[in-house]
Amino acid sequence: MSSSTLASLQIENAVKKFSIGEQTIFSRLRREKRRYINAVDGVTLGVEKGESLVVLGESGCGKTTLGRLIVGLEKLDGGRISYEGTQVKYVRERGAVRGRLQMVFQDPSSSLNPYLSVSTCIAEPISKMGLGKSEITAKVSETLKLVGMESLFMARRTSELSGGQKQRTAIARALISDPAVIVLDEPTSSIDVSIQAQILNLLVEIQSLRDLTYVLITHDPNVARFMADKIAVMYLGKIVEYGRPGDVLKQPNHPYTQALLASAPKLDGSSPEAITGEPPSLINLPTGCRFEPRCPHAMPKCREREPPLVLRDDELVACYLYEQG
Amino acid sequence: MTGILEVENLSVDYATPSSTVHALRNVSLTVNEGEILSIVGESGSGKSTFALAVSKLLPRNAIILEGGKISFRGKDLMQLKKPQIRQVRGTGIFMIFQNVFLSLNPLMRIKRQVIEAINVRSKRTDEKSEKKKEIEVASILKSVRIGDAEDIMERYPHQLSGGQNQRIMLAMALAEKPSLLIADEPTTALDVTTQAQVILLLKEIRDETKMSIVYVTHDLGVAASISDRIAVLYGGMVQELGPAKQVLSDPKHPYTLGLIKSIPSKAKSEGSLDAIKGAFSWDDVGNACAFAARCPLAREECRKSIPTLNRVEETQVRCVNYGEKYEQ
Repeated sequence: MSSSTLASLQIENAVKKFSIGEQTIFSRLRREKRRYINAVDGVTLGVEKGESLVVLGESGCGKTTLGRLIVGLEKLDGGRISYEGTQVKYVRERGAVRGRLQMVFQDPSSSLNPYLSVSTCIAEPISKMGLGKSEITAKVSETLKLVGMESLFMARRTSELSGGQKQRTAIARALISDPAVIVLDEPTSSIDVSIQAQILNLLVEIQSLRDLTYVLITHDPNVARFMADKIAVMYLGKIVEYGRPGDVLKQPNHPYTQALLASAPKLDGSSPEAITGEPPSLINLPTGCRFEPRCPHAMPKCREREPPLVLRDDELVACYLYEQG
Repeated sequence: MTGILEVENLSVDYATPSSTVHALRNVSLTVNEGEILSIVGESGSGKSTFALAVSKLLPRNAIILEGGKISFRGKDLMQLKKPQIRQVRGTGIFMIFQNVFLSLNPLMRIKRQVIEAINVRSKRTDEKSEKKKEIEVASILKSVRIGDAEDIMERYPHQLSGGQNQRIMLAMALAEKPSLLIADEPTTALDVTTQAQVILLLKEIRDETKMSIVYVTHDLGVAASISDRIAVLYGGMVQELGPAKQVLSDPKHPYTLGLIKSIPSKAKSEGSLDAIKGAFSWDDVGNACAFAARCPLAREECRKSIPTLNRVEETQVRCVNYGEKYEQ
């Protein structure tokens, strides 16, 4: 996390704002101020080569936007993202590097073109690289094998596949350009429970085979526990806790992480513990800590100023409970 | 023991242009008064078809096969005509769906939608409401833990969050005071923290009103935290049915066992997960155990005929190895 030694994938103070409401000629004439949603609000993270970083958070916390920023699908409004020292540029900018950073999207049924055959769909990312037809076919069948699908699927349309097969196809599509970093956005949330374990095993297998760096986005603490080398817990655009899964999931420090883990349903039949309230709207954020309105430990100080990320037992926590002195 | 809802031998087919899909096969379930029964299954298990069949909301291409029986408080729902079914819906059986934004009218204020539900009840029971309806709406909204009820009831559904909207649906259910609530994946679209709130709320409502709940979900963890009994469906058939604690701590069907074991509980450095091989396919549903193609314990006889439901302790299991104890 420190900026003195740069990690393989380095995110520094990334900011992404989305404007809300259309800007019409009237609103311009009235000199109305544009309003923004701060989807990602100053995130600094580093991922080492071959490691998995899991971004854990609920919907609306900005985790998907962060993933899209990493692969250059969104334009940064502030900060810097670099891979091996080279800046990651927005895809529409000149000189943007493509292919080294790939993304697997949340719902394969909507991210894969239903009219394309599996082989066309997987080959699409390398179709403009000037490779010969036989080279492309060889690469497609090699990648298909890697994700555990038989070659008879090559001629099928993606709409004919089952949920698990669609997800494997989406992973193959990301793998074919030999990426170094893959951002996996909720890779198992849209497939059946009985298939989830297969896909997670496959992802781990491919990672060690290809020495891949993963950024995995999820809301499920169980998935995070299995996949993560490091976990970053995100709440309303900010990282509130960062550390190894053994620390973050076993002894969570931040009240939000504690609440998130306590509300996850457990198999032993114990009732989940609920925290009160809903996340505040991203448009009118509280001035102090973003979790303060729902936090059971809130202090007057929390309302005044946002707590910075501080080091505590090998972990980073953004909470005044752990402030030194 | 007679239950509030008794389903016997229910089989439902869907007619599609190319073939007939056997969505449900010989499902018999009883829901007792004040009980929460979870129906757990993946897509294609028939769990939603069951919920729709009980609410009599099946699509037109569905065929309920001869011999099936659904009785609600002793009344045979299969024999009822449309106007009579309308009398049962709402105050008798109330169904809430996964997508709340499709269930609520986007053009009506919350207040009017809840008043609509109150009107249905007061019309049927002829009870004269002493309180003004708006005060009743506010008190119902408060009982589903909506703070600031007076403000919220003047709003439209799009101005509320998913969790708040799901609670509005529950408020409408409470307004009609049904004896059976059927909830089809009510928390799947919600965040975990909101999901926990809804689960706790449903349990409290059950404790206060003795309402019975059929909770349809794909998530064993959610089923574990809410239900008294669990029915595991696969390929349109009940594979395992028993008290929630027993089903989860001592699963007797290899499918249930596989589901429990495939939930990640360790780190990747401690080895790979015990995944169930293969995927569900309609081709496997027929004259054999639907799970046989994926089952690690499948024998010759599993592929020849459908196993019968056998009773072991408090649990019913559809497996030839029904007496087996499995290590978790």
